[in-house]
Amino acid sequence: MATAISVQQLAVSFRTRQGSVAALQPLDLELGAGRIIGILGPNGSGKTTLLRVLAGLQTPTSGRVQLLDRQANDPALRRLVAFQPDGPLPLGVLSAPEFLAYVGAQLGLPNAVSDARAQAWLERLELQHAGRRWVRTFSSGMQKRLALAAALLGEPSILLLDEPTSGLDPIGSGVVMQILRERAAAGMTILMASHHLLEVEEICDEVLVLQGGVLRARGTLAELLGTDADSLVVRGLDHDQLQQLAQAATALGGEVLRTERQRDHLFALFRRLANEPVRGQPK
Amino acid sequence: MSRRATRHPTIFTLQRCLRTAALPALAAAVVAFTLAMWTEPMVASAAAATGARAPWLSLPIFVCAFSCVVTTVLFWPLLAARRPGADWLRRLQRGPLHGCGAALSGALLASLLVCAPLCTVYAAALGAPSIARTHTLVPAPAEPLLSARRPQLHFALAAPLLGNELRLRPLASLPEGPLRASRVRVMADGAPLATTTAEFDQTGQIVRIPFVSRTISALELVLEDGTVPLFFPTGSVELIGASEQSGLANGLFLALLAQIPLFVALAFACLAGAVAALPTVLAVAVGVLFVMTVGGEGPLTAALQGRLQGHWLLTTSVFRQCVPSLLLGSTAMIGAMMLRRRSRR
Repeated sequence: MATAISVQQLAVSFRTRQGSVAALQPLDLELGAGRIIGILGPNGSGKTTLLRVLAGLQTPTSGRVQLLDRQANDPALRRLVAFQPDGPLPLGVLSAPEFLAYVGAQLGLPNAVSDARAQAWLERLELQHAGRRWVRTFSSGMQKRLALAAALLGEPSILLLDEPTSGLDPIGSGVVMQILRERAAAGMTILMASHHLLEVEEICDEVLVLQGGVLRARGTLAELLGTDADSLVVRGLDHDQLQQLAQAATALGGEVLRTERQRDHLFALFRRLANEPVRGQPK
Repeated sequence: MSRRATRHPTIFTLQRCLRTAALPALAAAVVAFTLAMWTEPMVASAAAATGARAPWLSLPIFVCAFSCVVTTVLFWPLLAARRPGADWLRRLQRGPLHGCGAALSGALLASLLVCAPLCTVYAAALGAPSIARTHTLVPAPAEPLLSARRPQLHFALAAPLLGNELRLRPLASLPEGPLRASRVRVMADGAPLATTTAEFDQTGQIVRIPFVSRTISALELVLEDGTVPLFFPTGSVELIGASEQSGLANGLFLALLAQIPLFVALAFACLAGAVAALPTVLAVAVGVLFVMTVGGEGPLTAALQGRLQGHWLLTTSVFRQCVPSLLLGSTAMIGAMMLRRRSRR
């Protein structure tokens, strides 16, 4: 597997009035192409700083960063590497098509190509109905989806995402996850910082855990969480019957990790309700 | 979808500034014109002194520049530090200023489009003449006092000029004896310029001496009679060029000059924005704009008056007045580039 991102002894520190603060301690990473890598960590752990360094927006204090065998600030990477920062989009008085047209022009895409891709992404991300509305009037979820469309417009080889699903409803989040899976399958390397652990667990091939600017853990989910085990979820048994089932499982060589009373997931409820028509209104 | 030109930050900013500046500038022009007409009877000989209406011309121009400054700083996130969405533009926009220059150009273009009708049509409505002439200030001699003890003053022009009118506006001292108006004969290159003499008995009195068009390289003022000593500093002797220039072109040139305060204000916004947040940047930009328009620093105030008085503005002296402001703005832009490069580290 080819290396998409290579980081050697990368360190970033910021000067403050109180002195120097290390945002990233010397870090070494080799990330393969065509994978989805999640970055986890508490606030202030260095996730965004790492993404900004990879995007060429932050000059590291020391160390070497290479993306696709080029230095992070190489102008050629503007199109090959896309970065979706967290927060609102700029130029909020443009409409969604205008914003994408601007991004396409800055990436050097021919107008026809840019417009065709923009149209396709707007439809896929369900933004085609936004029309001439100003981007700043969009909800945060709509802005997130438009941001993803802008990031994908240049068909980059590496996609850096900072909180790609924050502010999105579960359906929108699902659409984004699906798109990321498809892009990764097509060979795109995706590095995403997120606080949504379930999503990271669902989509990422590999996870980096940062804390205090230090890489505390790295590996696949199986490596970090233990090997996958088949599980059995039952409903309709009373306490005694459950005890018997547990004994039977133990007798067969299995291990009962926990027994708990569990409700259906909220996500399942949300999805079910979203698919049902509202009373008195056509869906 | 739009064509490539309409995808450029210059065009976005231009459209945005036009939307926000055109109506307020128009409203300011209507208000200013009404006030100009209303206050005119209070000013003595106002009909002749069109230059006195310069503040009414400067008001809508200031309103336009103010709207453009505020709109541009709010619209382009990289004109102030720590604005949301700045990282997007920092990656997308090439160049050391990451599109700030393009946004500035858009604002200047929008302001020019709004100022053009103000400086031509509106200025004409305020009384600006439909033709303009070159007004050359004749440099004063070392001791510019014309009196009984020194009855001749010699003025040398930097280069020969074709003119057809001379304006004299000396400062008068206390009379040296019983008051008798001083009569001054004007000689040009050794020959009398006019058949009559000019008479002065009070300070700041303006006398116009029309003559048949001729090229003049030196002037001589000869005191023929009178007891009022006259002081002729630079600016008190003005030679009016013979050739007539278009008032419309003069207005358009004024519209160009009116962009200088906006350019300097936005250049300072660009400089401050490398390190300062939005409120500071806005304060700096509006402050600079205020000083350069209402405060009278820079070439605009004189140019507004010149336009209303029919002075042709496309001259080296006007250009010379613009140089310090242009240098100041350019230095701020260069400083902004250096500061932004440094602050990325």
